[in-house]
Amino acid sequence: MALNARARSGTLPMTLLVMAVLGIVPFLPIPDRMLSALTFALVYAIAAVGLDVFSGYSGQVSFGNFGFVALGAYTSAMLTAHAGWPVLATLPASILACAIASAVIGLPMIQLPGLGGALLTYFFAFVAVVLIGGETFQDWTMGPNGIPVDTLQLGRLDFSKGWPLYYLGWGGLLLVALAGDRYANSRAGRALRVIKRTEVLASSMGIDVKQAKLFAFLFSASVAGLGGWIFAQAVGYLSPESFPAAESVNLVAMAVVGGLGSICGPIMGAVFFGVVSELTRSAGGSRELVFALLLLAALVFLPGGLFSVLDLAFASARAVTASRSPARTAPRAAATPLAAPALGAGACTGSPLLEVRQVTVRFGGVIALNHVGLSVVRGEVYAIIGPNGAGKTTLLNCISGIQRYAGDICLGGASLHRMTPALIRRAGVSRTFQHPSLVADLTVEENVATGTYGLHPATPYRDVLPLPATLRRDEEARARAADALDLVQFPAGRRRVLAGDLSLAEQKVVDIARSVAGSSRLLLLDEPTAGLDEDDIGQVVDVIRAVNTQTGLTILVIAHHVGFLRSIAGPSMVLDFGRVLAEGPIDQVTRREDVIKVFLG
Amino acid sequence: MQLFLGGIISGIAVGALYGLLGFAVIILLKATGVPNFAQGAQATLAAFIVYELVQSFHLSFWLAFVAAVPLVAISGAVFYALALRPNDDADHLNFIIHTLALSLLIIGAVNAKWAAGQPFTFPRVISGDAAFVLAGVSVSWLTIGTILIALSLASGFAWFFYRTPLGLQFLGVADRPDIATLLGVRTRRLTAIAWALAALISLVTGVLVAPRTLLSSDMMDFYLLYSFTAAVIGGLTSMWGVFVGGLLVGCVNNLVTIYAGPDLGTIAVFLLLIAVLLLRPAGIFGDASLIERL
Repeated sequence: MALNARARSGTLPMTLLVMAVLGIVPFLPIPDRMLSALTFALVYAIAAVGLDVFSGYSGQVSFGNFGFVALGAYTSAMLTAHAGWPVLATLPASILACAIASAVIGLPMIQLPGLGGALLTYFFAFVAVVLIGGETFQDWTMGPNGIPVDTLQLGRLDFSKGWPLYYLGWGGLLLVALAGDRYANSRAGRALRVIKRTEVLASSMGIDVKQAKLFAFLFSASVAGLGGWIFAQAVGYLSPESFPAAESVNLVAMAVVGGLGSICGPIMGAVFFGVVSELTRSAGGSRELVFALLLLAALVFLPGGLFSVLDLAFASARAVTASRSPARTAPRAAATPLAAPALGAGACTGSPLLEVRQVTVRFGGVIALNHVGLSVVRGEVYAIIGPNGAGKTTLLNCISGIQRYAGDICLGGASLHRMTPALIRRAGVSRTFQHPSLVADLTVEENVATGTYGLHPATPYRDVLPLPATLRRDEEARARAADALDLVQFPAGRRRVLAGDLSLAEQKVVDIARSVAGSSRLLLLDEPTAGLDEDDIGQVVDVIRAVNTQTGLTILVIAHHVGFLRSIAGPSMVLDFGRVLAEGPIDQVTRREDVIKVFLG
Repeated sequence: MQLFLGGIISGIAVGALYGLLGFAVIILLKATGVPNFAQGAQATLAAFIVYELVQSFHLSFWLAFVAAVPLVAISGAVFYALALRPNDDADHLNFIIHTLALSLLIIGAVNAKWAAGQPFTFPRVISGDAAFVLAGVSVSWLTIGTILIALSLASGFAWFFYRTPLGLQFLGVADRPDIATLLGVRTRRLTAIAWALAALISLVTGVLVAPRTLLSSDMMDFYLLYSFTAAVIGGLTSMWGVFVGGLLVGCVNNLVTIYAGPDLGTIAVFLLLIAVLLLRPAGIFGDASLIERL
């Protein structure tokens, strides 16, 4: 289930504004019932923000996160009732229980495509209610009778009701919103956004897709556990009826109505649900109906969520201030060499860096590649030519580990066969795709920096915490991104533009920068000129030449624009229906009659 | 052994119902790409409509059922026009939540209209008397009827999809909506028809479920969950897989419930779902999807 909605950076000011407004609510002359409704809204918002990291930023769907709220609440209540723990001490236990449960469910879930994973999470929420209300764990959960919750008291303050409870929820939400914002804008969060764009791309960039998704799920569940702990305080008495599985779907609805991928939006969505539900109370029997109509109206008329309204207001405010202050330029760190140190470069010049031996790929009855072999010498630009459907992209997919094949592919003498895309990226193979697939809501600089994520194994928890090592790594990524952009001669004035606002030609160049930002030994370019006009092609030619001559990077490029290839490549190969038709220097190959026939006929 | 066989037989009957509702879900999924969370609510509404026709106009069940057919079919198309047609280029998740809102809307309407007295007893369509005895287990007419109805509906729709021009257009739209549009297929009109057809299947499911569970606004909750499970287990691209999934879910749930209690019955289905998906991520009969094209 691909989510194509936006995932935004820099929403912190809006989040803080919304939190500030929510912070003064208890001082307003509102009825107690409304304060209570808003308190619950804060708890829902905690879980909804967690869900936003998982759904809004990584593009996954969970219809079961209220199950974690239930687990967190019951963990707290059971530990106080049966084990005599003080309430405050159960907080870490509530969070930990959810983290563990989400790891158990998450492991199968993240492997599943589309609806399967979503159904699994929904079913989990269902099973959670069954277990809570059923006989299996009745000694602990007290089954349908429910279980009392010890109230949290610090000094003379009773946190189970009134404004102290409200601020307990508010404080929890503030913490979670700040953590969520940090997560979304950290290296780990940006990796999630690449995954959301396309998983194939992410893995070919060296991002550990499963680990990243699992960690995001863990985050959303742990946060829901915190929410559950506060929920227990707010309800005072837990019973299975407090946690219907449908609430999990409502949680998604809140995030969607508020606006996914903004951290701030889901908070607004939860408040919207709480307020509307309280206001429609007087509608009596038709309350559900009125509520459903309002929900539908919000979905239809504000597809970007309530957040989009706030965003519009901020954008116009920013437009006013931006005209006054000049743009800042960030200080640059020392430049780092972009190309990986070639192993034993001196001795091996002339020896093949890449060897493809007898590679065969079948799609059902179609033979996409038929015993294809080639070898690319260090430092050269090698071209693969061929008409549509010749198997060019399939060959690149084999080399980058996306496509399984028979035969063998070696990089610097070591076999890449059966290695994962992430490992192949780490071994030094980077690539671009025919469609540049940049993350639209990240700037050019940020997009290029994601190209360095394959350099180090990911440690999401460290990426999220602003430790010195993390900051150093981020700084290194930024410096490498700047170098890569210099290398492709990308204008400095356009580097803070969101990738979604670039022209196709710019996207192609940024894509190349992204693939050379992390050290690599071999660069695979998939149709770098597709869809470009002659002027833009000339620019891409310059970029490829610059990359090749300045870093000595070996390049394997596929295209069907022969003129373009002749201006950059030396050796070449012609593929036709999965077979090698000709091999040799490109100027000679493209003059051969059989080759011309393939292209014209 | 008798207990076991009885569990299997009633599992098959209830599994056929999961399959039937799941079949409606799959038709819409194929035709529109949207999993319809309101399918259960639509079945509930349809059953209430039949009930109302019986009560207010003193019709026999069968007459009420026939009268409900056009009403329900139109309601399906109207729901599409109301809830999904506006802004139909929105984000996928946004769309899914539309169906959720629709479900809330329908259940809200049902609860507003039939506020007092739920659950109602619903006229038995087919007798629950034993039709014959198999190895000491009596098999009721209801069981046989449910299975036969599910099978004939499924065969009818299979014939419709693969043998009629309109049905083939559906499959074309499901496969490549952009190309179908370019070829002049009126995709939105087809989608409205698909909603009407799915609503009719819901009607049949609703009147078969209502006598079992009593008629109430939440009667389809479990059925919807298990229908989705059946559809995912069977493989979402397969029209027959959903029935195999339904039978598996029905039997596993029934047997574990008989021997270990209802809690574990639900958990067993959950584990079944995980196990099947780990072995075959696209479901038993699903197409293993090719790699994402970039």
